[in-house]
Amino acid sequence: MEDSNNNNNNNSSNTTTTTTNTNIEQPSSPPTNTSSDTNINTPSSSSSTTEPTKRDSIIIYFKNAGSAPALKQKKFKLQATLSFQHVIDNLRKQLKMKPNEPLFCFVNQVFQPSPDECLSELFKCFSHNDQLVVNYSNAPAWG
Amino acid sequence: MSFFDDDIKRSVWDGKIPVMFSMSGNDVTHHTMPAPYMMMVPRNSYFPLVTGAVRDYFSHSTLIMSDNELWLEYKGIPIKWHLPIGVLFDVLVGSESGTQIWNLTVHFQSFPEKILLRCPNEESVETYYKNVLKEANYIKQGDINKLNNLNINQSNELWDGLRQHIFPFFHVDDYDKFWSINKLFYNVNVGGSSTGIGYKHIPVRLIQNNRPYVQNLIAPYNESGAELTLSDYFSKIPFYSIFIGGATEPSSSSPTTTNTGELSTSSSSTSMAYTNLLQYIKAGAGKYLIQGVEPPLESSFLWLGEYFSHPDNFLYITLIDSTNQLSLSSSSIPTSPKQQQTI
Repeated sequence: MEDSNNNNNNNSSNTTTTTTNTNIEQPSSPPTNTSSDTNINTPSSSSSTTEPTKRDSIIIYFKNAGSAPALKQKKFKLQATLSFQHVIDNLRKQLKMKPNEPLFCFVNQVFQPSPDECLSELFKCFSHNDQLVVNYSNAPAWG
Repeated sequence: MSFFDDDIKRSVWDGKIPVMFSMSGNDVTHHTMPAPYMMMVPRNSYFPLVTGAVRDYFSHSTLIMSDNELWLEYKGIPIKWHLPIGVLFDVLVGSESGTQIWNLTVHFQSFPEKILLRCPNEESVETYYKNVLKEANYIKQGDINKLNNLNINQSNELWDGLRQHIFPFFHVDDYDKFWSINKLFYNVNVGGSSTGIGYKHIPVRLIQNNRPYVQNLIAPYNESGAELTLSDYFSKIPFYSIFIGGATEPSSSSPTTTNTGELSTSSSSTSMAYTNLLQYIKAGAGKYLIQGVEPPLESSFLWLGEYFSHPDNFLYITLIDSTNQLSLSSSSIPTSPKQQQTI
């Protein structure tokens, strides 16, 4: 995905890839991905918490690149104290990836964070519009 | 810029730590325990670049095949290879006074994968290093054009300089090699004319007690346009952000606060005694180390970022709590368990 703007108008490019997956996944229920440590939040609530000092959870916005499939649900709320490893694990789970399939996660199309880096620290330094953009790909797209 | 600044840069680069590597008793299959392996290890490097020689040395004493990933341990704490060696030393040993030699135990089995990242080969270190370098430059400049503009030779030169820092070839100056490229990321005239291209922020990481680092966006100048000082920086970091919410928080260990001269304000718990780190440091409750030394609080932060950063371009500040020896989680160190309460 080439556009680096954070407007959410890039769904058009994603729909082509998602359709290939939908026949395998659950029927057309509303996207209720249930995993242990993620609550799905509606995008509208993203700007409600603007207290800069202390935040319990942060919003991660996943963007796919290359031939990596897009997620139906692109925004996730994760606990701020978790490490980036949780983001990777979660994404792998959402994408139903096998352990040996490669996955590369970048922040803002720039660098791959250390898996032990704390989400709150990444968010403090690299978030835009109250969300942290994580670009993922199955090749080192911005290596 | 002072006349001596370049000497300082070189001294920082040349900083070394004496390390004694001993093999874990569990891994020895030979009938005698091998003698330890001693080495002066550069602060500005990474352990996997060092341990090849250690592996070779110990491989004669074990049948556990040494293509297993080697890992290091200090007093029960696995060593995170992905942090610069000097930072690890300051974090793990900095609180102990009079330490001369760093004793590390070498393991060839039972890799603690819940705690340590895997490091199968030297390319892992290179990839890791370059990503941190990108992160730092992204903080510094707002983009990584300077890095992307390096040609392949320059990029290799940078990595080779760092790699050869440990075992330098006698005819190659690893400092010149590394810094000839690294200086491209540092283009500010520190303390000189204000016309120089400023950084957006100074990449800085604050580490305490082997926990994940704290990373903030710190502008090099304060509101009035003056260069930020180290004390300005500490005054920006809330105390709770370092000491609360982690795995080993000091809240329950309030009786041990009376170590150094009755910290004027707090007779209750230490936890919320200070609003920011500057208060905490000024009260004598904690100290800090940057590249193993404690620069004055009035030092320019920009200057420190320029001359005391590690090769990944981050300025690492280690915070050491000197009041309640809550140091390393596995504190089997016999520090007089009960401080006398003499209030």
